[in-house]
Amino acid sequence: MKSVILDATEGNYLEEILKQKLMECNDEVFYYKLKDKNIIPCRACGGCSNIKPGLCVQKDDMQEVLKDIAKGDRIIMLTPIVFGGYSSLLKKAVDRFMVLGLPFLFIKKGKLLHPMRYGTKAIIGIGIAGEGPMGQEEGFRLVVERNALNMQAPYKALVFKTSEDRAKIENELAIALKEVV
Amino acid sequence: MNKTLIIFNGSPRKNKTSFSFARTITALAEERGYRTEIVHVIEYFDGKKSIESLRKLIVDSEVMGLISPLYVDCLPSYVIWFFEALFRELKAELNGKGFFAIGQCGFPDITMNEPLLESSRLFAEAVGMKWLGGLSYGGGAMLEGAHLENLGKKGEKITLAFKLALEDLLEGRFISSKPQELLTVKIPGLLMVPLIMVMNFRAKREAKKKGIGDIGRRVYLE
Repeated sequence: MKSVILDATEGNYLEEILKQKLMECNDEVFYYKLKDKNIIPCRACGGCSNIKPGLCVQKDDMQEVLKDIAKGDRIIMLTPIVFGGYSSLLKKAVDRFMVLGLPFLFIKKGKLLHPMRYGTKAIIGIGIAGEGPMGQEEGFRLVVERNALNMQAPYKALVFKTSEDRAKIENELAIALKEVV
Repeated sequence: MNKTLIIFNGSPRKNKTSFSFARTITALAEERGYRTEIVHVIEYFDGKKSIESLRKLIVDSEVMGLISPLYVDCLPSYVIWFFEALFRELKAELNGKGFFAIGQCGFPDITMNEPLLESSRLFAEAVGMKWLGGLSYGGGAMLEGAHLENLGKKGEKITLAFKLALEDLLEGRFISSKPQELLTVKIPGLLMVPLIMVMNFRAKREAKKKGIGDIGRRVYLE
């Protein structure tokens, strides 16, 4: 199993637990700490559909990430929950997922979808909940669910508080890594 | 002094569908005596303008709205960045103002915009703004930034929806259900399959015209 990690969190606490759990699963891991990467946001230039289909014209670190995702089996995203969704740092990378879809359409369970260029990837979204109005956690789970729906992927959304007990994190991660393949 | 409405254009493309919507909404608000300003989020992200430069405009305004395309199931990264910056730098100035959002996505299914609108609502609540509701438009990309007055009946319907929404928004009321009814395009289930066939055929034909051979190439595996 090849897992690509897009980590938009600060600190190494979750990183350490996640790496340990992935090692226990014998996963091949491609770990990206996004704050250290140069990722240019999608500018909707249309290059990936009109010039070179499936290839983003931006020359940045996302090219390497996309190569790993293309050959990978699972995408794991870590982010602080921001306004019930991903932080801008993670979303910069996720917006570039556009190239993973084909420019065709099909219908599944009443939803219009794009077939995936590189097949199905399992998705695990891990959100760190902080202070904020009610609905942040549900909002985050909804975004992960929609990503999975559009990528026709098995998925799980996990939400942890900053003060979460380590044993609980380890347990929930282990279950998710086993289930979401 | 006239009251002020600010529209944040969340699209990095400054003259496309989000801007077309913003243009019509600001014109309608001006007819009601409002002073309006369209703020392009991308200019702040690119560092051409500072968040600080928005302080006076925000203090002087009563209502603000975001109009944004849907990017991979939620707000584009630029808009999240902009919201993060507003939260950090101008939270006190935003407190108590009215806020609404309009999401527009490529697919006709307006439920796709739900996470975008929910994020906008949570931003409003996080900075202490009064959430006035959201509107969702499906098929925004197909408009290609056309001005609504050039879109015949379709443009008239969208304009009426915005006009009715403004009647609520400018009075500080939550948007009623009528504008969303007008914006919702219902495609009968039976028509979906032939519609998809036509769209897929067009995608192949366009690619051929541009001399693109295999549009399904798995470039990141080559």
